Parts: sequence; C-alpha cells; structure tokens
Amino acid sequence: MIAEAATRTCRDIERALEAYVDGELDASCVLAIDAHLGSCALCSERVAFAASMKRSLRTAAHAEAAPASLRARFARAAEELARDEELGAKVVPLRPPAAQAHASSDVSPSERGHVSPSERRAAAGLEPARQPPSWRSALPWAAAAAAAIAIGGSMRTLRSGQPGAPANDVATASFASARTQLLEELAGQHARPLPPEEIDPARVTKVFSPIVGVPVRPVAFANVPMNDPWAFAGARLMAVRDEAAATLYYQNHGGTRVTVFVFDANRIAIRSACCLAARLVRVGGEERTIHVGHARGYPLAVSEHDGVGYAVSGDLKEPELVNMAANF
Amino acid sequence: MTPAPDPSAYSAKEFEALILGQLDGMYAVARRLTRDATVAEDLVHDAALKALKARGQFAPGTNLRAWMLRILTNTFINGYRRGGLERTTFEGAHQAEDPVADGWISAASMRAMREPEEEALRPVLRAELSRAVEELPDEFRVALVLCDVEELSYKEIAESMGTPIGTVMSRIHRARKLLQERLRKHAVAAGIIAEETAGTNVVPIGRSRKEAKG
Repeated sequence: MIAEAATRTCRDIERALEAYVDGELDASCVLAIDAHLGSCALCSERVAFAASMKRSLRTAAHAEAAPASLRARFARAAEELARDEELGAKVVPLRPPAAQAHASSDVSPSERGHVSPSERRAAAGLEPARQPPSWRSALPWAAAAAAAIAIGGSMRTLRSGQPGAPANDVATASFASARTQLLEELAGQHARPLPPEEIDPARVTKVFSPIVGVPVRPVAFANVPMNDPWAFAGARLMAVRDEAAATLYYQNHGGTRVTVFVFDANRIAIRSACCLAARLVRVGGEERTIHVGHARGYPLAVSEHDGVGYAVSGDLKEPELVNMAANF
Repeated sequence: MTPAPDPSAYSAKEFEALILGQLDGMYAVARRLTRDATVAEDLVHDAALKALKARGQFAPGTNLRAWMLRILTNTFINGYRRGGLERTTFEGAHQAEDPVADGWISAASMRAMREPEEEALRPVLRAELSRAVEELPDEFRVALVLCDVEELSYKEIAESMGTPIGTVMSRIHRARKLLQERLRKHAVAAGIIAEETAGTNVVPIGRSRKEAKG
C-alpha cells in the first residue's frame, strides 16, 4: 500500500517537478517536494536529469558570444539610425492614419512598457500638424515600413515555404534599407564597372582569395549557349561595407556583360535581404535555392555554397541570371 | 502613482550601449531559435535595432533583458520562423502520439545518461540535445529556450509569447518530453543504456511491476 501511494505521488507531482527545477514553486511547495525527494530515488533522479538537461542546454547556448561582425553591424546601423532621426526631425512628415495602426503592431502592446501622453495624442491624431516632429513622431514611418516589409516577407514565405526549404528562405529583415543599399552597391558596380585589377584567372584565385577570405575562382559557365560563350574579362576587389568582395567581369561576343561578386557569405549577409525572393532551380538533379532581387534596373541573383556567396548581375533577364547563379 | 518616465531618459548612444550589453544573451537565444548562424545574426540585429528605435517605450527601472527578449521573440515569431506546413505536421503528430503518454525512463538509465557528479549530460548526449532542440516545433522551442537558456520565469515567457501561462508550461513540458525521448533513443543507440520496454512504465529497481502500476 505504501508503495502504491508513493507511486501515485510520483505521478501526481511530475509536472510540479518541472516547475521545481525551473524555480517556479513557492516555498511551501518546494518543502513538500524536498520531503518527497528525500524518500524517492526515482524522483530525485528525475530532478537531477531534468537539471542536467537544462544546464547542458544553457551551457551549449552560451558557448558562443555574439560575433564581432554582429556588434559592428549593429553599431553601424545605430549610427545610421541616429542620422535618420536627426534628418527626420527636420522634415515634417505626412501621417496617414494607417501608419499609426501598423506602428502599434510592430511593437506589440506587451513590448510597450509605457505610453507617454504625447504618444497617445499622436495615436489619436491630435498632434498639431505643424509641430516639428521629434524622432519619436517619425517612428511610425519606420515602423509602418517595417510592417509592410514583414508582410512582404511572409507572402514570400508562402510561395517558397516548402518544408524542405532552408530556414533562410523566410526572408525576414524588418530593417531593409541597409541591405537595399547593398544590392544598389553591387548593381552600381555592374552599371559603372571600374577597370579590372587582374585579368589572369589563376592570379585572381591566388591574390584575391586570401583577401576575400573564401576561394575566388573564375568559372566557365556550363549551361549557356556554346555559340556565344562568356569570356572572363578580368577582376577587381571591391569594398562592401567593411568587407572585401571580388568582382569578376564576363562578356560575350555580343557585348553583353555579366558581373559576378564573390564574397564570404558569413560576413556579408545578403541572402536574407528582405528584397530578395527565393527561386528553386534544379541543377543536375539537385535542387538549389537562388535568391533574386532588383536594383538600379538590373536583376541580381544570389547563391550560396559552403559559406561562399555569389551574386550575379548583368544585362540579362532574371531567369537567365538565375541559371547562371545556379552554376556556383 | 508612477511618475511618467522622461521621454529623453535615454539618448540613442546611451541606449545603444545598454543593448550592446545584452547582445551575447540575445545571440545565445537566437542561435537556439534559428538553425543558422547567419540567420541568428540577422535576427539579433533586427531585434536590437527595433529595440533602439522603440527605446522611448522602455520604462527605465524595469527588466531590460526581458524587454529585449520579448522583442527578439516577437521578431522571430513574426518573421523568422519556418513555413506553416511543417508546424502543422508537427502539431498534428503531437496530438496523435502524445509523448507524455510515453513511458518513464528508469532511474538507472537517467543516471547513466548524466555525467557522474556533475549537473550535465554526457558529451555525446549534449550534442544530440542541441540537434534535437533545433528540430522542435517553433512554439515549443521558443518556450523552452526562453526558460532554459535565458531562465525567464513562466510569466515572462507568457508575456513574450502572448499566451497564457498554462500554455507555456504545457509547451515546455512537451518540449522536454520530446527531448528526453530523443536522448533516450540516442543513448540506446550509443550503447549507453539498454532498451527498455517501449510504451510502458518502466519499473524502478527494487519494485515489482504490480506495485508500480498503482
């Protein structure tokens, strides 16, 4: 009988054991459980096991500190934001009512520790139109933009949301401008190319790889018409933010140009840019995800392989570029 | 009466410094929420920037870490989680086969899976634990990571996820059961413990099956 009672108690307190391990119980419950643990080897072991799982998870998670690149990137973005806020203060924005609605969904009520009277006035649309807005009244604009982008992102997710698709397909960024700029920079480099620094493919690999941090190999494109092949026309280095990328120029007989950017995908995170849509391409029976975007009137196709990022821009239609990007 | 916080309580620079202090913790959580270091970086970056922009909404004197994690969680839930299909499959699977109904792991097995004298799993199981966490459904993973990695209270997790506390507890419970079962299978495969009769309650050493059925 005693054993039966003990077993039932063990089952009854199973959930409480978890709360016990999580430190969620009040003192009297803790005492009751302590008393039970003192006489029950099984529950003691369960607590020890649960604690070891918890601790292992925590230790593993905290093994990596935030990378320096993340800190640097945030610091840069914060600087940009400070500049934008200053600029925003000088411009009187129109405030469509919808913007405010989006703003409140961007930072949920639970995130709002406090709503100031001026914010409440702003929410009710009572703020005088001519009052020079502070950074805070400029916020709804940024927030509305972010919300719109988030909606775009989730729509894209629906399109490319196959279960096997990589997590990055959920294009995501709520802060777009930095990455839009990145695309602009790449497209700009294609639009107005600077002269090549190296024209020998072997030298390009040897000299550029250590600077870019990933192997830079001018490739022959396999799946393009052979009667008008792409010829390698030289390469140069380019600074993308604080990182180096290699720029490879290609040209065919017809004078059509294509520019390939090779970069360290872990340092230049272009793939998850909000303005990129995912396309699935089948290459030799293997499915590849290519991300596409547009800037300065040029399409851009981005592909990643083993930590090496490739972005292709050119005087081509999007599907052709996607096919080229699938070569990497 | 709480005095209204001064809107200019934190300058952008001051708040940026505060956020930088939270970045490691946020990254640790993000790394567990996403499966990819690059995505984790993006997630933390977006959440940190959102926090900086919304600094006027942070009430000085309240828990900055919890506030930041709330923004991180919301950013993750609203933008970064995987497609809906996978989730539905997972949820369906749980209803069909409730892991809670699965058997216990015996005390001897649990002991064998831990490091002796230490509050940690054996290294081979620790690696499996990380993999298993990655494969948890988003809702379960968020709840568990906030609980175990950042050690938020159930109440804080409920606020972060916008769900009742009961739901949080149930998610954490189910997540742990799924992880335990995965660890058990792995430990059997690795020869650390012997296979125990699946689906039935394993009788603790020193007791007869009849007694244990209670």
